[in-house]
This record gives sequence, structure tokens and C-alpha cells, in this order.
Amino acid sequence: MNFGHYVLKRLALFFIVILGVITVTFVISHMVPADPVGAILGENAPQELVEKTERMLGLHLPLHEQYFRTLKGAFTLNFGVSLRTQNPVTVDLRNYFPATLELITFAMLIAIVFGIALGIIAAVKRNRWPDTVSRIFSLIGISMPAFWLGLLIILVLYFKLGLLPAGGRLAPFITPPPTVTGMYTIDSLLAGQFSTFWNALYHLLGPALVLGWIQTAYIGRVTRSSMLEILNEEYIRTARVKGLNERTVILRHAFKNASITVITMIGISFGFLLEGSVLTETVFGYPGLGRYSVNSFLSLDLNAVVGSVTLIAICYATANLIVDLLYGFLDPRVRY
Amino acid sequence: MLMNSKTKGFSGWKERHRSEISQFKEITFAAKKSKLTIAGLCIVLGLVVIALLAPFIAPYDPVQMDLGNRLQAPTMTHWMGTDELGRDIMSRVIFGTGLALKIMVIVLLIDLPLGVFLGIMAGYFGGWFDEMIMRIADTFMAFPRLVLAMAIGAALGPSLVNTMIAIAVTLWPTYARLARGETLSIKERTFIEAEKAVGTPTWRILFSNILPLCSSTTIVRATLDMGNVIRIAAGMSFIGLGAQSPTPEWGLMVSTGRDFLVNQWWVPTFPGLAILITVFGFNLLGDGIRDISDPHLRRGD
Amino acid sequence: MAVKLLDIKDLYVNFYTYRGVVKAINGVNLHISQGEFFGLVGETGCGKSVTASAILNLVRNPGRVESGEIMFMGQDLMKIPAKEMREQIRGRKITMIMQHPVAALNPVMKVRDQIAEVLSHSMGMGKKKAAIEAVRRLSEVNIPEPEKVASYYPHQLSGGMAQRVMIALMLSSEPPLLIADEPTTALDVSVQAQVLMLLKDLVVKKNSSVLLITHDMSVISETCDRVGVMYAGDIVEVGKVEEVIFNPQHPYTRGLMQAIPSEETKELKGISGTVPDLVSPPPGCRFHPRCPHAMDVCRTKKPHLTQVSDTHSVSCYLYDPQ
Repeated sequence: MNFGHYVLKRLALFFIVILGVITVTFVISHMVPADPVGAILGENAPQELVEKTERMLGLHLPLHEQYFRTLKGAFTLNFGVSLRTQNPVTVDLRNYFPATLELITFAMLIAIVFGIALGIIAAVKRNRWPDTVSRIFSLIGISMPAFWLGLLIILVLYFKLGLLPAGGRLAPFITPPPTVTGMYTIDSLLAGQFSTFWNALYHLLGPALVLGWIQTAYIGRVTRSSMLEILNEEYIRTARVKGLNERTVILRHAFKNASITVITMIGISFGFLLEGSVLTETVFGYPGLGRYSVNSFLSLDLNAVVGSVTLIAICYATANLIVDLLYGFLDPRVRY
Repeated sequence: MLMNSKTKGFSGWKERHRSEISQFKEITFAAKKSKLTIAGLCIVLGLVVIALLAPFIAPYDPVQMDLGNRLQAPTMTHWMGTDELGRDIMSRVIFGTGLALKIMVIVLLIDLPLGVFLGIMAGYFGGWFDEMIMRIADTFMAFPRLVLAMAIGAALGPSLVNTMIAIAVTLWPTYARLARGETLSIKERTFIEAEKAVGTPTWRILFSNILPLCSSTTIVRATLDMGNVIRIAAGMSFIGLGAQSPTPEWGLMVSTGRDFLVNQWWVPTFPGLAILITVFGFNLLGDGIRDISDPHLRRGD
Repeated sequence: MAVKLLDIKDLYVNFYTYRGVVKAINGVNLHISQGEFFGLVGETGCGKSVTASAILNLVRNPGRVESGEIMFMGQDLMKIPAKEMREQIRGRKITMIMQHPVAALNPVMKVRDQIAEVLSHSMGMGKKKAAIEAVRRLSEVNIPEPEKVASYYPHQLSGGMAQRVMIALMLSSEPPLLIADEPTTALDVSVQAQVLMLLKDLVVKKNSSVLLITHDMSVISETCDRVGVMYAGDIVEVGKVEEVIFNPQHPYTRGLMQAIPSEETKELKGISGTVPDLVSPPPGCRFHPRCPHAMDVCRTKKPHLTQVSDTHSVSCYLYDPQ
């Protein structure tokens, strides 16, 4: 099967999965013992209000009709209104999603730089102290509960040392830059507002540190194990027989092969980052998609739940899709 | 194998199982060389011991309140201090160990057999059954685990049991895929054809041949997941979807302790540390097991 | 006496494994002259590949060269600094082709770039010139459409083609010594002959020496000038190919030659016994448990190479005046 076919097949799969995602989200949010209306309105709400809310949520309709409404809504990007924020869910998503995207990208950059370096060093100095230290660091990184690390960082860097800002995306006295992408760092650079840029970056530090630390661990591990596997291959021996110096062997021969796996891991990391942002944003009070979705869950805000979970799953699935396609593209064994 | 004077009887047992014994020796040699694996094993065993001996080693009752003694810093009488209701934190942490281990075991005990069973069925019989299972698995895997678990947990209502169900639902697709993949490659091998030719009943083939070959990959993967289960469960409790007061679940303790972070840092810190150490231990162990069973990495050490 | 290009003296190599210390190379002595095609033959596991690795100081973990001298063009390779080994010797003066050519090539680099790399590194060629020269080298090894093959990736090559690419690659710097470690074992028989003839041709043209490692006596007889027979880490016999094949002196070599079936064979003859465990090898001569002529001295002291003629030596007490 040549590459073109592979791409088409993968895309088709993607759409089927998205459909499945919406279905599953629907099933979860509707076939539940918990009472969504009671959760919002409280136990003793007057009957009229209860009925009005039910109508608004479409709960009075038979189940399959509700399903089609949800489907139609999802494809037209209309998820209804959030009972909690009183905004259309789509508006909420548009406000919060770029914040998370910004955070994740920043964390990803940290993770790529440090993770790859860590992994290569660990593989090359296998079983010596740099390897052991980096392995322990990585293991701690992936074992650490993100919410706890966040609290620790807040305790030390904010309360004790005053190095981090209080929360949110910008200091309260600064106005956000004109919206182009919704990401304050990019938008402020585009508008030439450098002090806003630094302030936005400053606010990203805390959660990005937490997320970045954890992802550095993942990328470091994958880089290390991929390099180790490759360093045992015949062609590395050939490279040594050629008399190339160690740096060339490691970087040009070993890592070039490992990079395929590492890039795949980077793609997967985006998914992990999305997952991690949920709790991290909550702990830091960062107004992003993660925090929004948690609040939706806790208040059983159905429309918001469907909307935010669908968006998260689409992003996750897209990241996986890109990874699959990228892998096929980068590995000449698949391409030719 | 020829049965002769060398291979009969008890002393012959060593002879007959020579290859298994030598494999075992090789594994223990590799394991001993990896200090990290040993450390992981020690941590895990230590945790099990603490969990089992909790009623005997915890100095106080984990749920007993003592409002006169609220929010005490760590002292000789309360090694980890007391929380906002005067309960001894160390005792709660100790009892939380057993809880965490229980959660992990129950979730994996449900998921591994379920996932592997579905995977083997899908792989072996193929056809529409395979397609269906795989599409469902793909759909579940399209969600980040934590998000899906939270959504399910929120829908079912906050409780520890619901948390376990939620996590179990998110985990089975991984094992199903793994088992299916293994089954597909094993299915084509000649010895399966030979079994079929001899007329071995299908269930026999699946149970005695395919299952053991699948199990090593799935078990390795499960050991890597053990820590994750505990972490996700703690995360759920942190949000408020999992264990409820006064259960001494670590995530819950961090959550309620959050309000006291600034001045009584010990309240959320120690339970979180417990989570870290536990997950760390399991990951060490899981890593070590994976390193040892992967022939690529064993060579050239 | 021809100039000795490579002279290995008393080489000992051990492997430190979970089962104990494997005494893989037990005092090997051999030399190769300039322009000579030398064959090293022996069963799997007798240590031929390890010897080759030791020459380049690339013995795989957990192996270690314990002692010995490897004289090459006047230098002891065991004693030169690592940097010199890398820059002067490997890839330039001594190169090696291996058993699985496709696996030995970097899967994400085009063939042209892999050959060009050697040309740049050991001949100091500029990138553009190296790329063009790489294609010319491919045509030298009789690869059809070399321009096209140069832009292939290794997985697109057949085994025979890949081995020819390896040969082109490893001969780019015109090394005085090429080591060929079982180069045809993994290839189809029809391709084997082509590759061997190619090797022989190129060697004759460029006056290089070749150390050919194989377990196949027939390959040796077709291509080599001299041959060394290895058994369990020892060289048991060495000499000109005609001498060793038609007049084998060592009981092991005799057994090997007798085992080769011919038209008159009615019954297949093997050598009784099995290869020894090198963690606790038999004392003295390692072959004595299987030798029909074993004497007391064979069980206690290791024999040395004794000359049977100017060019033929055996390591056996049958010829050692003791």
C-alpha cells in the first residue's frame, strides 16, 4: 500500500473515530444515574424552572432525537448554552482553548529540548552515573502526580520565594493584546507589545514548568530506549568500522534513526499534555480548556461537558493522526 | 524429548527443564545487575508490607478526630503532623497505602482478563467481531485517559467504586489491542496450523497456546500501568470525584489539604509524597521487568 | 619472505557473562602478508569473528581483549591511542564487510550518502566530489544502473546488491587490509560466487589483502591463498590452501576434510563428540576429548604451532618433538 492510500485510510478512520467520540460522550452524559438538572438548580427548585431547564437541555425529547441533536450540533459547532457560565459553549471554548494551546506549546518546547538531551546522554553513558541520574529523574517525572507538583511549585516559587505570579494569564492591570490567534504571547508579539509578551510568558511559567517537567521525563525515556535499541544495530557497527568519531556515530547515525520514534513520542506528548493540563490548570487557576472541562464535570453542565470533551478528544485524535502520518512519512522503509 | 535414565524422576526434572532453568538464571543475573529494578522491587514489597501491617504500625486511628489538636506541625508525637480535623496524618497515609494497592489490584484484575480475552477473540476470529471491537477500542482510546475517566466518574456520581469502574473502562482497550496484535502474529505461525491439523479443539488452542504467548507482553504492559492507575485514581479524588471523606485516600487528602498549603504545608505534602513514592516504585519495577524481557536491550550489557 | 602486513601474536580474549568467563580466544597466532587472500575457517562459535573484531578493537560487550600483540604495518594496534585507531586505521587502512549487508547499512540514509561519507572521512573529499565518486565506485562493483541505485535506501536492495554496495563502500579508501566476516553466508548460492569473484578481482587489482572468515571449506578452496583452521579459540593448523586441504596434518582438519562428501562417499562421516564449553574448556589441547590420537601430554599442556614445512604449521603433539 503506498503512502497516498495510507493517508486516505487513516483519514477515514479519523472521521469514524470522531463520530464514535461524540457518541460515547453523548452516552456518558445522558445515560447517567446522576441528576444534571438537580445539580445545577439544587434540590428544591420550583417545578417550572426544572421543566424549563429540561427543555433547554433537550432532555424532554426521546433519546435518539437528543442524539441527533447532539450530532448535528457537534458538526455545526453548536453545543448549546453552558448552564454554568450562561454563555454559548462554543464561545466559552473559543475563549479558553487558545490559552491551553499556548500553555501546551510552551511546555512542549521545554520538554523537547531537555528531554532529547537527557535521553541521548543517558543512552550514551549507559549504566554510568549520568544514565542512572537521568533515569531516576525521568521516573520521578512520570510518577509525580501533576496536581501535587503544581502545589509544591506554588508553595515554593510563589509563597516562599515570590517568583511566580498569582494566577491567570496576565497581571490584572494589563489589557490583553488584540485577538489574532487568542494566544497572548503570539498576539502581543504581533502587536509589538513586548511588555505584555513578557508578562504573558511569566504567567505561563508555573503551569508550563509542571507540564514541561513531566513531558521531559517521557521524551527522555523514549529517546533513551530508542537510542539504546539502535546502538545495538549492525549499521552502528559499520559506522564505527568506518572510523567515524563518536559524536558523528551518535548524532548522524544513531539519533537520525531514533528521531523517527522520538518525533512520534512528541506527537503523543501533545496528547499527554492535553490530559495533564486538566489538573494543572485547575491547581494554578489558569483559565484554559482543562479547567473549564473540570468545572463542567463537577457541575454536570451537560452541554459544556459534551462540548469540551469533544474538543479535547478531537485534539487528541488529531495529534495521534498527525503522528501516524508523520511516522509513515519520515521512515523511508514505509514510504518506498 | 527422549526419556532415558538422565531425564526420569525427580533429579531428572532438572534435566528436562534445563532450558527454563537457564532462562531463569539469565533473568536473575540481568535483574541483579540492574540496581534500579531491585530498588523498585524493594519499594513495592515495602508498600505491601506497610499495607498489610497497617493496623499494627499506624500509631493512631486514621479517622479519629481530635479538634483540640488541629493542624499541628510534625512533632515526635505526630511524625507527619495533624490535619484540619486533628487526625494524625501519618496514620492516614499508612492506611491509604492499602487503599491505593487495593484500587490498583481491583482495576487490573478486571481489565487484564477482560481486555486480553476480547483481544484474543478479536484477533483469532477476525471478521465483523474484530472490526467492531477494534472500532470501540479506538473510540475509547481517542480520549485522554484522565478526561474519559473523569467524564464517566462525574456521570456515575462521586465515589471510589465509580472511580474504579471509570478507570477500568479507560484501560481495557490498551490490553485488547496488545492481545489482538500478538494473537494475529501467533495465529500465522506454523505450530498453530499443526495443532489445527491434528484436530485440537479451538478453545484448547486459544487457552494453552495463544494465551501464554500473549501474557508476557500484556503483563509487562500492566506493570508499567500499575503506577498510572494509582495516579489517575488520586487525580480523580483530588477533583472530588473519587473517594469521599473521611476515607484516607491520598488524592483526597491533598485536595482537602490544599487550603492549608501556605501555613501548614505538611497537610497536602505528605500524602502527595506517598503517591509519588508509590508510583515511582511501581514504575521502577515495571521498567526493570520490561528491560529484562526485551531481548534487544539485554544484549550487549 | 613476503612482507607481513598483519601479525597477531598470543591473542587472548574473554567474555564475562552470566554463566561465567568464556575464554573465547586462547592464544591465537596468525599473520597475513601483503596482497594475500587469507582464509580463517572453523565451526560456528570457534572465535573467528571475535578475532576479526579484535583487530579493529571492536570486540562486543561483554568481551575484553586480555592480552596479545596485533602488529599492523609496524604498529601494535593494541597500544595506539583510540583517536589514531579511529582516524587512521578504521575505515582507511583496515575495513570490514559483514554477514548481513542490508542490516549493516543505515536505513535512513541513501546509498550514495553512505559511500560518500567514507570518501569524505578517509580521503578528505568534498561533498559534491564524493557524491559523484560514490556512483563511480558502485559501477566498479558491477552494479547495473549505478546512478539509480545510488539514490536507493538500503531496504530496497537485494542481499547480493547490498553486499556489493558494502564492498564498494569498504574499498573506497583503498585499504591495505579488508576483513570479510562471512560475507556470503546469508546470500543465495548463485550470488555467492559472484561476490567472491568480485572480491578476488578487486584485491588483485589493488594489491590489498583480504582476511576471509567463513565456515565453508569450499569457499576457502576457491578463493584463498593461505588458510588458518580454528577450533574452540585456537589456531590448530595454518598453511597454503593446497597444503592444508590436500595434506591436512591436524586430526581436526583431517576430520573436517573427511566430512566433506564426494562422489565416492557411501556413508557420511562426522567428528565424534561436541564442541567444548568455553567457560570450562578442556585443559591442554582443547581438541583432545574428540581426538583419536590423544596422548597424556595433550591433556595437560597446550601445544604450540610447529612447522611441518616452510609454509605449513600445526598445533599438535603428533608433530611436536616432545
